[in-house]
Amino acid sequence: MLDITSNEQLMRLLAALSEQLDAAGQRYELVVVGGSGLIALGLINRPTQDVDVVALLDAGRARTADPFPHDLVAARDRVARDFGIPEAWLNPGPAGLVDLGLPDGFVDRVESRSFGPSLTVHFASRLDQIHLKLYALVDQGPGKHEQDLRALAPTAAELSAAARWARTHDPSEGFRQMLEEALRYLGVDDADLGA
Amino acid sequence: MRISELRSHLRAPLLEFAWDQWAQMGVFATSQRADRWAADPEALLLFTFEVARADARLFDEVLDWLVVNERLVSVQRLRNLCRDEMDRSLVDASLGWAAQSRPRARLLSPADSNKPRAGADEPLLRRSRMRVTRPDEAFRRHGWLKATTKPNGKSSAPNLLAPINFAFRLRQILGVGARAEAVRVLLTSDAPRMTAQEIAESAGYAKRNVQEALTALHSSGVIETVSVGNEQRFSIPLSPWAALLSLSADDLPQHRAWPQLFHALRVLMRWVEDEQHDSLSDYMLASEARTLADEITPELRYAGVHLDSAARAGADYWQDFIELASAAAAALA
Repeated sequence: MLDITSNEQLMRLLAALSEQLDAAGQRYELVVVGGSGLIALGLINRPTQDVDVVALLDAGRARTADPFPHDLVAARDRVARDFGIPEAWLNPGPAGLVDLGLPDGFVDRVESRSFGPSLTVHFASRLDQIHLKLYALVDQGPGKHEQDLRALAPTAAELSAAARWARTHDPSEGFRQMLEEALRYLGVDDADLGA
Repeated sequence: MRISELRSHLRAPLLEFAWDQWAQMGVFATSQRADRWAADPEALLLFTFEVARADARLFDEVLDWLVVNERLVSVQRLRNLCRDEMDRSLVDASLGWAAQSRPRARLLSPADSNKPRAGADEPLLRRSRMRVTRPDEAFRRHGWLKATTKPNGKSSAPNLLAPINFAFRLRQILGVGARAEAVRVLLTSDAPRMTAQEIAESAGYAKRNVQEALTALHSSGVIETVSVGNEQRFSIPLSPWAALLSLSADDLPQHRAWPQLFHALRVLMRWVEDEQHDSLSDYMLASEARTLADEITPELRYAGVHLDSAARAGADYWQDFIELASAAAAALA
């Protein structure tokens, strides 16, 4: 199992991916969320097992990353081979979020890093990571998501905004109750979750 | 070690090896070596056509040897052992050159009846600063730019009693073909019994041809066969064959997996000599090297080259590759 334990290690993998894409004459812009994105922005300091790509950015518009294009897979797999890591080190696991809808202004808030002419990686901003982590906490339970969310030190207003966005993905009453419970657990008792 | 240093590190021993082999096989050169193995003439020719692109004199002396000894060479086998277009064009160009002195249909390929092709030719000699003013037409037909040369006639026939020339000796007895190669493999291999497929891998002929040769030899009572499951395995009685050759069984030459080893070394040298690799980053150089290593490692292992399985990550793999390349070259010692 791969453990990306440092920003330096993550940058090395992405730089290698960039070189492989360059050699193949390909160019991609990846939108990354999750633990690796938090490591890249220096927001957390825990190991993560993969790099979650939520979308590909094409002319400023996010489009689904699932399935990865063939040449991106080829480049990713060569990096995996070269570093002795699983091929799923870079995966489109959370790509479904694009269909359900990313938080408003998500693309405008990303923090971008260029790895040369063939690869730009856009890391979700702190605010958007709060949105995604709150949703993941309610959807998948505590653990690393709670740990990450606490490391992001969200304000009550940020958590409320995140909760309202999460409800657009699951408007059921059951989910609303779980959200309210999660928010209370995080110290927000009076969140406005809308109608 | 940078790739330019690796180039020199590999080129010198490979050229030295080729000179030493050919000197024992009739090329006009001296060698202090008296190898105990049986050479594989066609595999060695293919290997030499590649490594001698760094040594014009070796290339020309081997071409001269080919003209003098072409009756001992199997053109079919030479073509069978080609693995890619580069191999084929070097072989066809060299045979076409030999045909200028020995006009024989078997030496010619369809391209030899064509006019020289249009477009840029690749210099046969690597990094040569000599401008080719009179290009050889036989080589040009196959896309190579080589200065016109004539056979110097200095080569001689191989000494058939030297172990290294065992293949030629068997060809003189059994004829040039699958039968002689199958007997060579059986007499020199350490394996007590071999399948037709295993023999074919060294014999350099199609399995069907080798199977036919083995069946004929078996029906003549000069090789033996046992069935293991539904697979036939062949063996050869060493003492009677050795006696026929005025040798003791212990004096029979040694087998080496030359086609596999030489192919791996050809691919390795072609890659190392490619100057496009000089401009790669440390990581991409290591990555490309790893791709090459993945390709040639099975053949190197088949040829008995010991290679470590553990590999360093990323750009650090380059050191592993240097060790692999060194081990491959050392297999010739």
